[in-house]
This record gives sequence, structure tokens and C-alpha cells, in this order.
Amino acid sequence: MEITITPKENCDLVVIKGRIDSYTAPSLSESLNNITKNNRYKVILDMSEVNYVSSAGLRVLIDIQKTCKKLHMGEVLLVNIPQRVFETLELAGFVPLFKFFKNVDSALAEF
Amino acid sequence: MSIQPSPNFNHDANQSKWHSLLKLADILSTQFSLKSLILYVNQIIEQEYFFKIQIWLDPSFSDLAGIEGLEPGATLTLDPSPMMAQVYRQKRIISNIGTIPDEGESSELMVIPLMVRDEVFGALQLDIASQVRRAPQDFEFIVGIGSLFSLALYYLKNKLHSQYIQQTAGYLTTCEEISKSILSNLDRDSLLNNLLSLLHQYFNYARVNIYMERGDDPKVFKKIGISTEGIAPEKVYYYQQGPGPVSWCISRLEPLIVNNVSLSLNFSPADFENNIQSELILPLLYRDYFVGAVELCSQSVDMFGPDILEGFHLLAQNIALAIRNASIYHSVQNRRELNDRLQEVIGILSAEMSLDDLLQILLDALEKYFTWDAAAIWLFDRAASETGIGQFTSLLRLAAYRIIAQSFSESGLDLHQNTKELFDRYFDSTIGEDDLLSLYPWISEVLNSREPIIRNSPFQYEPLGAILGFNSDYSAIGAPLFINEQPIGIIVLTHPLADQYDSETHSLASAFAKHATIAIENLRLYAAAHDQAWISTVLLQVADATQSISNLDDLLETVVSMLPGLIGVDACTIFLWDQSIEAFLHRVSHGFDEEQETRFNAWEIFPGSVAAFDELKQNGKPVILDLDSLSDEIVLQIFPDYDFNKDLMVLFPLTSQTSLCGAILFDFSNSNLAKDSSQEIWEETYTLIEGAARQTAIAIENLQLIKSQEEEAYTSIALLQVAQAIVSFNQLDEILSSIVRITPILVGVKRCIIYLWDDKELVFRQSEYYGFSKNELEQLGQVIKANEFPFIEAIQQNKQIHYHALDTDDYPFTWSEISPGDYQAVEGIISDSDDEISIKLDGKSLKNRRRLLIGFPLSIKGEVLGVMLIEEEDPIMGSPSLHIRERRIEIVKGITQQAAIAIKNELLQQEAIKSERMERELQLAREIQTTFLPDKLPDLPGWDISARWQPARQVGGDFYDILMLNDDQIGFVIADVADKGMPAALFMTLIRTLIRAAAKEKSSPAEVLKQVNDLLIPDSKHGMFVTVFYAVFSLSSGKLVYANAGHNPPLVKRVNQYDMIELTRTTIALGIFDEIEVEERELILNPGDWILLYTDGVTEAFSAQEEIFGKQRLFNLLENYTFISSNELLDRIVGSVDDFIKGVDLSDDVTLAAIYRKPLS
Repeated sequence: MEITITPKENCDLVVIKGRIDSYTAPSLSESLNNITKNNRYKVILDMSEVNYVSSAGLRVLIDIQKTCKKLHMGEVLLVNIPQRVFETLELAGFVPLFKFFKNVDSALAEF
Repeated sequence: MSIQPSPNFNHDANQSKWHSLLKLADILSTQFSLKSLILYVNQIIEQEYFFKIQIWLDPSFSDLAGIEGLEPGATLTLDPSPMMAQVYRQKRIISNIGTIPDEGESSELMVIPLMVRDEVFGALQLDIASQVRRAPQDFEFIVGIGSLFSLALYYLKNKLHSQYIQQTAGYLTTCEEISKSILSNLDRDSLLNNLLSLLHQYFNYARVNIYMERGDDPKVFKKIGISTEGIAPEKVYYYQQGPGPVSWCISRLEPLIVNNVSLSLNFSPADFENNIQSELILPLLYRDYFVGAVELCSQSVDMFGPDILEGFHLLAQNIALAIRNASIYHSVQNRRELNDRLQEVIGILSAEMSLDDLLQILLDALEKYFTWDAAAIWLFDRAASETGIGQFTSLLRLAAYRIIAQSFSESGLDLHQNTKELFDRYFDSTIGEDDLLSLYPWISEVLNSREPIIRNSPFQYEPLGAILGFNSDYSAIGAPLFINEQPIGIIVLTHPLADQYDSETHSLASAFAKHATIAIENLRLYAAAHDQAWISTVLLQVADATQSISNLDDLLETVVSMLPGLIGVDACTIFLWDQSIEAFLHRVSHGFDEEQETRFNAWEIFPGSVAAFDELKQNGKPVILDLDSLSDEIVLQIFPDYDFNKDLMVLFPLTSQTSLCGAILFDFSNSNLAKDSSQEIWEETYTLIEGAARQTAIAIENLQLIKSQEEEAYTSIALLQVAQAIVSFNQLDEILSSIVRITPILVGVKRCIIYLWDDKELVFRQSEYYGFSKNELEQLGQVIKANEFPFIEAIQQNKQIHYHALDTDDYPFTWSEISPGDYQAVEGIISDSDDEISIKLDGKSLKNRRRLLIGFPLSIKGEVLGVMLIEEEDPIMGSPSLHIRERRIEIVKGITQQAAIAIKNELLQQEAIKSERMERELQLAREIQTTFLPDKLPDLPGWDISARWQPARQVGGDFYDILMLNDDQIGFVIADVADKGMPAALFMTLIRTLIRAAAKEKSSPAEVLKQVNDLLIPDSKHGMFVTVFYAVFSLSSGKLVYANAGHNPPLVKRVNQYDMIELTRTTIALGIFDEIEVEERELILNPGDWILLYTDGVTEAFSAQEEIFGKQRLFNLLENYTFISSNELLDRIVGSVDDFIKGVDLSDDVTLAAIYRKPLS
């Protein structure tokens, strides 16, 4: 898994590539926590190149979403989410927790 | 009395119960004692559930540590009640609720067996009547507590408990502590005593012995030991091939563990010390050299498991290093002191001093630096010493002797008077061949060996021991005195006790003999020249001038400016032999013009290139420069103005006691001496020049000796500084950081960097560095993959030091481009004189190479843990001498050895801690999970139910459960906790107990899941969630009511229908939202229909090609499946997943259950 974080004007764009499973989830969690630690709660996750998300990965997504939404300071937006990953979210019932976007620009417009 | 639901189901009360259970699970995952466990179980059951309890444990627990201090009675009972005994036998829960209590049972009781699988450890008895307010789910909680309690007992009993881990980790820590406290000790004796006490005290072994090689004889060892009685006096241990564990270890240089002396196959109990049951012997190796051995003895059997060996192995290395350091320090100090003293002796020599005075001064020095009872100096009769070695013994004269009377007084004999007479008989008279050589062949052995010899045979007496009547095992050391390969005498020291002299004495004696020879010879020279006033004046002047100078250039300058005037010539010049390039080089001139000097300077005289020098080197005699001794080319280039008919130049050897160190060329052309001067005058002049040349050579050699000793002292001090830096830090990065900073200070290095090998990722990682800019570091790269940096890969592969000559415009970023043709390996050669590996560089290829990049493997026992690169400093001018480079490499090699030990130590510690913790966690997690899964599924008429659970190595939180709700209804649960390992296992126990409790209270699956979710929220941290499918089946009607909280939809296959029905989600996974809506659905399972429940471990199994098994493969398999039995169905699926992943480890648990409603018969 590779993570690239690009700070934007009022949010952070995180591009994730590869598998988010129980081995890679801790490092994703760490990267995302580093963003919120700096009091930045608007996060866009570009997941177009994520080919698998395990339940450990879902946990990270939920955790960061809970942190960002707490106190209504921000939110995590999901961009370009592949069908299979969407199905994983759908299966556990997590779709209502997130807003989904087709591209980064439309997600950027949201903030 | 029946169970009444509590009037107000109280979430808060339940939550506190969860917390208690969670805390119990936490206790289980950390250190615990039986006592604290019992107290805690008692506390939660009494305080949260208001039951009085009694615990009875199997007698096998009575001797487990930690139970003392627990008052039997209230909680822990020593005798089982009749019901407890029954539970213990029947291995099931028994209660007498609703029945009339038996005699002796005062009230209603419920007894839970404390068991794991089929092993029962005791029973937990609840006094039901004691509880006032009771909730129906309480029993589930208590059964959960009982299960966790049982697991804890299981661990205690099977000693899987952390005590063991603590012990091994303890060994490592202790070994490290001991290493630290000995490494900085430079005093040899106190080091050994300190070490013995530490080993004895820390590990509590009955006996600890250290065997030290004495150096003189590989079979003789110094043995010091400690036992409960304290440190035993030093003894001598003789190595023998074959018998005995210590000799076994020494001959193989391998550690030896004997864990039960009486059962040992290789040794008999007589080979061990009294009362010893098990022992460990470790060889002490410094680099690859054997220093000694350490023996740890215990009075119990099985004290030394293989798991502690690594810690001890490292300790042994550190001990060897410490001993080595202390020995170096000791001998350097001693030799230095001796050297200073002897320098003084030579310095005070004068023509007025008699030989006897000198010999007494030498005896004084001997007395100060050696231990002996009797010492003697024999000298050859000078006049006769011209016939060659072997013939001389007959002409030896006892020139001086001394007996230290004090030592003899202990023996009670008046030996002093007696011996004096005996000695006087010999004294000052030459001894006939029959008298000395035939009686004492040892003396001629010493003379022939040219090196000091330590007496090692009880049959070989030498004169002193024989005259004094010593026991046959007495000690003696003889040192021959040689000058110019000619023997001039022998010094003998003796001591009445055995084994007094070792390698240390040997090297001291060797140094002493050299100096004594110079002193004696000088004195003789003075004496011989006594009549020739001018010669003695010259020599004395040269001696005076040379002895006080401590710098080679100054010395040579003084000699060349002094000699022409003294001898009466115009010019002279000195060439010194350079050992590293094996050539004579011009050093200094006087009286020649500048042009000539320039020609000398450009002249490198390799063997075979100039006949005059070859002849000089071969014969050690003066050579006249003529057309025979110089080639035309040389004459043309170096001596263009030389007139062979008229002029006269003579080359004299500069010879010290052992070797030719250079040549001195005198130009007699314009002197009073001419070719036709008389033979007598020439001889006189020759004698004079030879004397002066010898003085000069001796002075040069002394300077070189001092220099090399300073270097040796410097090396050991450098290494000691590194050793001290290492022991003063705990963290590896701190240690390495201090190493890369100390190295440049110690050896003149510009840049220094360490790469550590990551053997998981198979890459080098940049570690600590010195002298690099941020930019340079980035260009070098943090992580170095295969083929990215051939230079360091070569070091790793060849396990050798490599070097590469840098060009002026080479910068760190070009290092990775150094190609295999551009570097060379340094061969380590074991030199004859010392055990040290001496570094030899190829002089020719390094000529004019100003800066080298040198890479060292950081390796231990052939395992390369990393690489250290150093870049030499830019020299101010020219290129550094080979000697400096070799020396530098030797020092850095010593440093890297210590760095490697530090790295290995760190890796071992990390591994030990990590793997033990992980292993234990994994084991515990799997154990917890297994305990909470149903042992077997109930046999239900009309139904066929099977389940499978295959844990991944890192257990996921899967589980399934079956609940008997009433006569007609069963509840079935399959769930998956979104985590792994211990946290998942603990969370899973909570969910399971929670569902069981809720299912007792609520009949609707939706309500059950909702209640579980409500209780989970406060505990759910970091997004922890669980997917659950819960269904209630009616056994008679086949009606199935279910709720699915985000779990993989179970599949229903109807008889005679192709398509399957998915029982999809009816709510979100639990643990996410505070309030959730849970939908509930139902369907009828007709006879012949079946339902498959599974977790994502099935559909998300990965193959070696990283392909995912997927839902489609499962569907394909099921759609074409003809049902045989639930068991066979699950076998088929598991088999298909196994085929798919083909030996790859499961990434998640695979859990499956199949429920089949049998056709009506």
C-alpha cells in the first residue's frame, strides 16, 4: 500500500494505492491520524487504486470519519471508490456514513 | 425457587458487568498470580452479582506459587462439597435449584466446572439464595467469568505463563548487565574476580569457573573459581584430549550443555565437580581467537535450556573482549614502564661504568618487573665468540647473579650461604662444556631459539634450579642476548613454584633482553675503544646526541650534520629501508649540493636495481661505490659528476641488533683519507663509522619501538573508548551514533556511515552517519535495494573489508556507481609474531592514491548485520603511508567488531521480546477463541448441523455459537470482529457473552442485536465493530427469524431450486452508531433445504497470485452442488479454498456453518 498526502487549501487529499488489510491498516491509520492531530478534519480519500479493503481497513475509515465528524469540524469524502470496495462498505452497512464522489474536483467543491 | 427477571433491566448495571469481564480478560493477558486472580473473581461475583461463592481447586494447584497468604475458608475451600465433587467428575454445570437440598447443603447451589476442553481444574460454587436481586443473564456472565478463570488456571498449570518469558528475557537483561559492568574494567585481576562474583550472584549457580589460556603452553590453563564458599585460590588446569567436559569444550570451541550429569552419555559423573547436576561451558572467543572458557555449574538438573544459550553466547563474547582489553592494557602499561626504565639505563651508561655495575643495574630492573627467586646473567667470553652458535656454551661465564634471600627463609634452610658458595664456584669462571651444556641442555635450547623460552618439562633442569634444589615443577624462563645475530649471553630467572611464567612474561623478557643487549654491547664498545680516545669521544657524542632525541627526522638530521665533522669528510647522506614498499628511500643529506640532493630524493632503490645496495643488504658490510656496484644508468642519473678514478664514496650499513634499517653514504673524495691510505687507517675509520652507524641504528630502532608501542597503546585505548561508549548507552541508535562520531576523531576519517541490513525486506537501511550534508545523504538513499550499491553488496557477500581509491572529484553520490572492477578486498593475514590479524595493503596500487573509501562488514560469526563505510580525510600533501592506512583499518576493524556485537545484541533482544510476546498473544488469543466456541454441536432430531473454524496465524475475531432457547427453538450466531489477535479474541468473548445474555432475555433477534449494540457503544473504541448474523430456528416448523448486522449474507438453497437466497443485511454492523434500527425477517426452511453461514475469511482468501477467492467462486461451487451432508458440504468448501490459496497462509479466520433440514422420512 502506498499513501500520498497532499495538503490543499482547506483540506488534505490522500491518495491510497494497493491493499488496505490488517497488515497495512495500521500505517494508514497513522497517516490519517497525523492529519487530524494537526487539527485538520477535512479529508478527501482518493481510492481509485485501492483494490481491496478488509474489515481492518473499514475500521480505519470509520475511525477517521468519527474523528472528523466529531464536533462537526469536518468530514471524510471518498473519491473514485472501486465497485468491489463499495460492495464491502455496502455489505457492512457503512455506505450512509460517507459521501462518495466521482472525482477529486467535485469533492474539493464540497468543502 | 424459579428465576425471576429483574424488574428493571438496567443498562448501567450490565455495563459495569461488562467492564468486570473485560478487566478479567485484561488480567489474563498480562501478568497474574493465582492469588490475585481468585481475589478478583471473588470480588466481581460478590460485588456485581451479589452471589456468595466458593472455589475449590484440584490439589495440583496447592504447590503453585502465589497461593500463600490467601486465607482458605471464605473463598477458597480445601475440601470440595459433594456437588463440587460431582461437577469435577461429570464435567458439567449442576444445580439443585428447585429441588430439596441434600443433607449438608444449606441452600440452593449452582456449581460450574472450571475446565478447558476436557481438563477440569476445580469448581466454582454459587450460593443462589444469597443473591437478592437477580437478572436472568447473570448466569451467562458468571459462566463467562468461569471460562476466563479456567483459561487462566490452564495457563498457570501448563506454565505457558509469562513467568517463563520473564525468565528468558531476564537472562538476556542479566547477561547485558554483566557485560556492561565488566567491559569498562581494565584491571585484569579485579576483572576476573568481579566477573566471577557477578555470574555467581546474578544466576545463583553453585559454582562458576573461568579458565584462561596462559599463552606459553596451549595445554595449560589458569583456573579461577567461585562457589558459595567464596573465590577459590587460583589453580592450574591441564587440557587433555578426550576426557572431561572442559577439555571437550576447549577442543571444539563450542558451548557444551550437560543437563543431567548422571545421564550424560559423553561424560562420567566423575568428570564433574561434587554435587553438580547440570552445567554449561562456553568458550571465550575474541574475534576468532580463543581466550579461555567459562564454566557454570548448578546443583539442579535441567538448568540450561537452549533458549538461554544465545544470551550467554553474547555474554561470552563480551567477557572475551573484556579480558582481551584488560590484557592489552596491562601489557602495554607494563611494557611501557619497562621501556622507559631501560631507556634510562642505556642513557646513564658511560665509559666510567664497569660491566659489573651495569649488570647490577639490570638485575635491579629485573627485580622490579619480574617475579623470581634467583636470577643470573651468563655472558660469552668475548675473545672467543667468533666460532658460531652451538660452540659457545663451553665459554659461558656467570657474569652476575642474585638470589632474593627472603623467599628462601620460608623453606627454613640456610640456602643463602650454601648457594653463595655454590655460585661462587661458578662465578667469573667459564664453565666447561661437560659441566654446563651436557648437564643443562636447556641453556643451549634457549640460545638456539633466539627467543625467550619458558621451562615446561619437569626433566629439564637449568643451573639455578638444580643448584638451589627446586622441586621438579619449578618455573624458569631463559632469554638469550643477541646482537647482529651473534649471541652474547643469556639471562635466566627462576621461581620455586610451578607455572609462574606466561606469555606476558615472555614478551616482557623479550623486550628486556633486547635492551639489555644494547646496554651491554654499548658498554663493551666503550670499553673496547677505551684506548682510542677519539673513537670513544665520537661514539659518546653520537650516543649522547641520539639518545635524547625523540623524533626520527631530528635524529637523522643530527647524525648527518655531526658525523662528517667527527670523521673528517665533507658529505654524508642517509637512506632508510621502508618496509611497506620494500625499498631504500633517501631521508637526509649533509654537504651535498642541492642538485645532488634532488637526485637522491627522486631515487627509489628497490632490491635488484642497484648492485651496491643489494650487496650491502646481503653482507651487511661496507661497499665502495664503483663501476661494478652501480649501473651506467644510475651513474648517469644520480652520480653524473662522480669520477670513479679519483673520487671515493662508501656505503655503510645501518644495522641495529637484529636487522638492517638503512644505509649511510660517506663521500671521502676530498677528505684526508684517500684510496691509497694505509690499511690500518682505513680499519680504524671503518671501526669508528661502524660504531657510529650502530649507535644511529639503535637510536632509530628505539624510536620505532616507542612509536609502535605508542600506536599499540593508542589502538587499545581507541577500542576501549568505543567499548565504553557502547556500554554507556542502551539504545542501538545511540551506540551507533557514538561510534560514527568517535571513529573520525580516533582515526582521521572525513565521513563515516553505517548501513544496517534488513533481512526481512532484503535491503540496506541508512543508520547513523557523520560528515554528510543532508543533500549527500539523500543522494545516497535511505533504503538500498539489490544492485543499487555494488560496493556495499560486495562487502556483504565476501564478508571482507573492501576499499576503493577515490578521485578528487568523487563525492558521496558517486559511491553507488563504483563498479566491481574498481574496488579490492583486503586480505586479513595472520602474522607469525602475534595473534592479531595484521592488515596488508598492496603498496604499489595505492601509491599516490590520496583518499580511500573503505567499507567494513559488521559481522558476527559470518552473519553480516550491516556495513560501515569510512572515507579518508584529504591529506595535507601526498598520500598517507601504507603503514598509517593499515593501522587505521586495524583500528576501525576493531570498532566494527564491537558495533556488530551491539547490533546483534539489539536484534536478539528485540526478537526475543517480540516473538515471545507475539507467540504468547497468538496462543492465548487462539486459546480464548477455542474455549468460547461450542465443543460440539447438539444432535437435533430432523436437523443436520456442522461448523468449521480455521484460525489464521494471527487469529481474527470470528466465532459461531448455538443456543438452546427452549424445547423447540435454537439460536444460531455467526459473527466477525473487525480486528485481529488478542484484542479481537477479547472483544469476541464479550460479544458472545452479550448475545447469550440478551438471547435469554429477548426472543426477537432484532431486539437481541439492538441490545448488544447499545451495550457495545461505550466500549467500542477506534472504530471497533462486529458483524453479526443471528437467527432463531423453530425445530418443528422450520421457521427462521433472523437479523443481519452487516454480516456476509448467509445463503439458503432450497431443495429443487437452482438459485440461492441471500439473507442480506437488516442493519449496520454493531458498534458504530448509538441508536440503530434493526429490521427482522423470516422464512421457512423446508425439509431438504439448507443454509450456509460463512465469514469473509472464505470469500476474501488470497491466493499466491494475490487473487481473491470471491463470492462468485463460492456461488459456482454451491449452485452445482448435490447435497450429501452438512459435514461434506463444509469439507468441500474448505477444500476448495485450500486448493485456491495453495499453501499461502490464511490471512483471516475461515468460519463456516451449515444447517440442513432433513427431508421427512
